[in-house]
Amino acid sequence: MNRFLLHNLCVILVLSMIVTGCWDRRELEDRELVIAMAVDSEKKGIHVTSQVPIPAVIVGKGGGSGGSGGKSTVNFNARGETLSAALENMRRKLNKNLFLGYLEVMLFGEEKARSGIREQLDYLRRDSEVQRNLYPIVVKGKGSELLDRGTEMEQIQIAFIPRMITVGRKRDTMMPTRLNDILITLSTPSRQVPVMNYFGLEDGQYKWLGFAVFKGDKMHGVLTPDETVPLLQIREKKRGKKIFTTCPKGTGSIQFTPLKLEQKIRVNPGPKLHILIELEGNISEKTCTQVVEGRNREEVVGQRIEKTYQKLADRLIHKAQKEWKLDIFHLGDYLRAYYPSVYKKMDWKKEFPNVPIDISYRVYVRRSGANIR
Amino acid sequence: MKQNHSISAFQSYALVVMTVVGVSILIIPRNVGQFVGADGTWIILISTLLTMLIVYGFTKLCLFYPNESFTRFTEYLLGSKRKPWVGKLLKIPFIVAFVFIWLAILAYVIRSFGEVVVSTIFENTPLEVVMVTVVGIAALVASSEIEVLAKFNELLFPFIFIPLIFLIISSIQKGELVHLLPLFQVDWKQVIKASINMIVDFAGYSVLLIFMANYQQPQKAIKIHSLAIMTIGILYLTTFVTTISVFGIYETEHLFWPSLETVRVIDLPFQIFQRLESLMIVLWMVASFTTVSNILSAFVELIREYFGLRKHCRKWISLILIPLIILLALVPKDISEIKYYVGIVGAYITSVDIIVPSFLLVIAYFRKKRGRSNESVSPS
Repeated sequence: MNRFLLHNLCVILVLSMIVTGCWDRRELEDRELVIAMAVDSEKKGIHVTSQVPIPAVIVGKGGGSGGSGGKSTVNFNARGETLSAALENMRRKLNKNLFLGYLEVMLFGEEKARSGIREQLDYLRRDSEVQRNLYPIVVKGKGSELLDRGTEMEQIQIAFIPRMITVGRKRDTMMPTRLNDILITLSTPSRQVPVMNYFGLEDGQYKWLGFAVFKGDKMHGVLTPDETVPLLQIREKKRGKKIFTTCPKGTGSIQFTPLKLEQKIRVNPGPKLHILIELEGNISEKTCTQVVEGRNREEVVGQRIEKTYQKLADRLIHKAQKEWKLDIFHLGDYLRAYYPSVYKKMDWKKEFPNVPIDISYRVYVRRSGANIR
Repeated sequence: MKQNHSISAFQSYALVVMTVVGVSILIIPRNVGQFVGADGTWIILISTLLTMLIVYGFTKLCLFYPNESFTRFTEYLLGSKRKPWVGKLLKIPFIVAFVFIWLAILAYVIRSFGEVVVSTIFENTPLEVVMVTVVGIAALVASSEIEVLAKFNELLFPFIFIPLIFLIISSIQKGELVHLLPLFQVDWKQVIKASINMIVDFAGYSVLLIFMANYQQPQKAIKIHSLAIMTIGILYLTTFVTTISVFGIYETEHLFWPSLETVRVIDLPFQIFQRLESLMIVLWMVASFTTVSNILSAFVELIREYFGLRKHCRKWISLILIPLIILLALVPKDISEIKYYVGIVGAYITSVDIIVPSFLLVIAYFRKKRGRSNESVSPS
């Protein structure tokens, strides 16, 4: 029995030496954590900027001894034909290994986005460390500019942007596009139109400028903040930002805050698409010179708001169908899922510009504003 | 030799579930989605029912000789009492058939598991090291008594349901109904083909041929086994639906380990826990590890009984089997080749699992009818 025990102990001892995982040990100190990366196009190949925090400075600031005004991050630049080649070049400037596991934002310069980003996305997909939750954004001008300048609030400056998008996502005003969404959109044949958030600089501060709309992996156009409202409502079933409308009587304006949204798509034979959007919300600001009287004043105001929404949506649908000829609403995917027989019969991409799409809004104003009289 | 009836009803349930649920849960969304798209939702249900039928056959067969294991009862079934060598000779092909099945499953599970670990966590560790450690520890477990193995399974059983929680969270956060539609787009030929193909993902239930001899209540086995297969079906279905709802069928095709990726896209508050997939891999490690140890244990028991060796020989048998399994697992060059072999071996496994029990059942039925009085008086 004793021999038996000894025998087992030996086995356990030997096994415990192999299974502790020390074979593939990688220390945190040996890694250069890249928080943000910007990709811009160059004459030949691409220009990549990686932002890496300086651990010592960040720890110091937390302890209260900071305030030295020193920068908390370092930018590394490199050029290369492809992203992996550029990163390989970048490694020559580093004393540690690059680690992309904490990459939070991927910035694409507008020029680069317009010339196609499939190659970079492919690299990000293949690297098993890269999080699918990172935010890819398009930057007006050069992507690296946002890494050099911008709102100085966060310890790591660029962390401002992911927080901004997170808040925007919660308020339903921004596209919650992650890397994951882009990859799904590009691999699903009935989608193919990724939309990213579009950022720029204004007076040295970050600013959200709307959406960058892609056709496949190439950027196609920009939607202004007003135009994003119907897109969010149709494509993502999100409420969109607050909108302004004019007063029914007199001068001044009404601001409407949508709180609840319901969206229905009806497909009539033809096919003919009808989108109905029901919104519920509050009036958050009213500067009308004349007060609407009567019991149905909520309705009057509601119709006013409906008209504004309608105008925005009609304009966007026109832009999508006639100017861009691009199914930015992913209606094709909706058809594929709910009306497969209709979808199979037609070449959606080709026929989309000619499919009649009409949209109607119904707005319910819950509180039209408390006027103390 | 006296068999001890040591496996309780719940332990046998856990044993079947833990044996079947292994590495295939990581790739089921891709494998099914590739062929039938979103229709996989109900094709998984159909193949669960088919598997239940097969397992019913296995169980019925074992119930003819409730306290005997496969090596023993095939001998009675195929031979006669006057000439025992007939049975001894005729049982060989049946035993060899299952030996191949178990070897194939072991090699497949270990290889895929090694691939998962190497491609996601230990990027610089050689594949062989991961595989040897897993098989080594599994052999240690498998060399213990069946009673211990049953308790081991019972203990680990709850852990395989933890991943489901994360999968469902991910589906609620990121899932889209559009991805799960349209249903009923495939024709009947595809349905039949896909459902039969999927039976392979349940492979491993054949270990009950060995373990059923040790059941405390064999009369309950049909109910328990059906329940176990149903549980596995639900597990597979949940994995499929949640993963497809997050990625859609097209993106799922691009993912090596779809269920793992599903967990990776979860938004966690405050970023306290990042990289949930490490936890997932640990839990799936449990699932594949029990698959390996259970099948290995059944394998060892089969060999031990066939050669009539003593109990403590189990350790040496499992030790001898380690290099064999590792070598077999290293046969495919890469993941796409694994897939190719799985296609061939899968067809073999399914056909053996269908033909062997039904053939033996027919024989058992006729012989039992003729020699009922003989049977009841003849002890082993």
